[in-house]
Amino acid sequence: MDNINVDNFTKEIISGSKLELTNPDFNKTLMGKIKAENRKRIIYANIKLYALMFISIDAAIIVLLNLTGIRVSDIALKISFLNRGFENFYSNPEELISIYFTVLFAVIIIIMLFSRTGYSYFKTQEG
Amino acid sequence: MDNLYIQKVLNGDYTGFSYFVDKYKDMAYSIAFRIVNNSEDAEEIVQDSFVKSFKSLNKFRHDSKFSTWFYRIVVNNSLSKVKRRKIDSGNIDLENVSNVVIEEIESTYYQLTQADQQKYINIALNHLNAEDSLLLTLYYLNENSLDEISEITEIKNENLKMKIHRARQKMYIVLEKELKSEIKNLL
Repeated sequence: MDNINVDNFTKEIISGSKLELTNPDFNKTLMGKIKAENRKRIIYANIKLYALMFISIDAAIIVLLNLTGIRVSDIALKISFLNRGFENFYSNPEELISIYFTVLFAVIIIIMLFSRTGYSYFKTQEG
Repeated sequence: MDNLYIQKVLNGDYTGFSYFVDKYKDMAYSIAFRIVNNSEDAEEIVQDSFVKSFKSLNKFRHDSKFSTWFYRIVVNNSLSKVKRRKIDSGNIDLENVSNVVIEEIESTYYQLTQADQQKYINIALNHLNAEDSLLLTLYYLNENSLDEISEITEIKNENLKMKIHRARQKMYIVLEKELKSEIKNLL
């Protein structure tokens, strides 16, 4: 028996050793893990993108305020003046505004985190 | 085809990953099983390897085939499971297997039923150490090239041919012993 024949015979008998995954739920379980991993990846990319956006916007506002010479205390006075308008409808207008903005930002953050914007943005950046 | 699905997954369509699961799960399972020798652990390793490859798919540089890169992850995960840094290469006394012995094995083998053929070859591979059974699986079952096997197992290419030859010899030694009773019955 020459080497080629031994090789062919070896190949033939080893082909009988092929193992197969018999668990019927294997694909389902695995794709569940992949889906969770994908969601994590999207959320992480969004956190990165929006953190960058907020930092940039804050920096731009600070620069703008410095350049135009507007003082933050002046703006605060105006906001407090506007708050007085709510007193007719609600006994504690500051609390109302605070709840309103908290809920609004919570909704915006949730929508942002689960959107694909951040993922698509970083994908484009990576080329 | 692999590249198309890689691109699909990288573009955010995670469902495209099921293509790789369907295509490579059985071979990955065979590789893991040859190292850990336990079906439950092997299945867990395959799952972890797929998740790991999904997470680091953007690091895949296309220097090799996807399968080679993925099987390397499977081998690494299997080694972590058995807490070893290298594939076990423990030894079986290597006698010289003559062509006559192989011809005897061949004639006996063909007289077995398909189920028995599978049974004996799996017994033989389970008797071998992890390195030998893995090399035989990659070379003869998955038909990987020596370069690919070298990349998957991190065994130097120049040693591979000899190692595969020896692994084959060892397999025939075990197979001959296992089939001895069969040979006696048939003669």
